[in-house]
Amino acid sequence: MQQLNDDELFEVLDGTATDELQQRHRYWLETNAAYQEYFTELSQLHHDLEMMHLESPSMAFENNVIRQWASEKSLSKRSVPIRWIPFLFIGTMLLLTWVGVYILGDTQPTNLWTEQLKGWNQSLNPTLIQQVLLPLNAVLFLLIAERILRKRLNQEP
Amino acid sequence: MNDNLKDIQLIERILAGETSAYRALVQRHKDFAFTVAYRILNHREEAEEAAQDAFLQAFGALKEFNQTAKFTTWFYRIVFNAALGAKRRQKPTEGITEINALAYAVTDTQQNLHKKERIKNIQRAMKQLSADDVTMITLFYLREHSLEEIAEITGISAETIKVKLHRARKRLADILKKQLGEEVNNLY
Repeated sequence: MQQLNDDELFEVLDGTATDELQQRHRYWLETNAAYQEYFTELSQLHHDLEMMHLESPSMAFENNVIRQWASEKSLSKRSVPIRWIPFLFIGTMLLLTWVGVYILGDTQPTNLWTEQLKGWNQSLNPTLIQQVLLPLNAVLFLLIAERILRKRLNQEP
Repeated sequence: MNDNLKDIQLIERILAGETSAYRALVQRHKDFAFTVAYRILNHREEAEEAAQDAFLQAFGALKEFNQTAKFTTWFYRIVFNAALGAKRRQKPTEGITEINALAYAVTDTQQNLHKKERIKNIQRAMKQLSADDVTMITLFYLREHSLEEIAEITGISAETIKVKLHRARKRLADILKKQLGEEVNNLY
């Protein structure tokens, strides 16, 4: 009859051994002193592991978790408008650029101030706005959006 | 009342806006969360931090928790991942140097002193095991999790868990034997 290997011995200890396995185990336990000694060692370890109880964190642990959670919650509430500031800023920039280009393009100069504005407007190259400033705005917008999305994804467990 | 049902009720109270339920949930699971983290990290402060992180992550994701599932399995998976994450960030020398003052709920009779000594040896030996081995043993013995539950927590198949658990215990037994041999040699 073959001796039980370690895996089989642990199955006996865990109470998941088959009848055949238990029969073989009993046989070796009664007839072989070395086997008996080895099984006693494993059995002792098994019972000691069962006896080990849970460790406790420090007394402040509970309060720390609650305090940390409260501060995270308040931070996330406060940061909602903050999150929209970059979008608001870029939107306003785009709107002002558009309004400036169109209004100044159509307005007849009536005084020195509007004449001066008109002069600046004419010096602005529309190609420069279309090919440089607007794409730059779009790239900035995408970078900010990517950062926000990445932050949100990282927060998820 | 069933343990999981209590957890689900607490989660419902939290989702309904009752803040005191957070504390109750922490009270119920703090020891286990800490023990798992501590066994993996071997460092009290780091274990507390990891357990704290796990609670914060769980609180943040409570809305997404499927209430038909077992809360502890879901939560312990978060704890396990938080502790493993902290272990990866841990410097190699950390954790090994800390000598743990063990807490036992036993009185000091002669028999209990032996038991105390044995458990102390096991804790020392466990520090030499890999995080994987320690997790298997901790999850299996501390709350008597089934292999299927451990599989869900660790994301490994139940069959593999069984093999890993056997090997972890065998390694632990070997380390203990070696420790005992060294102690005997030191006596002479």
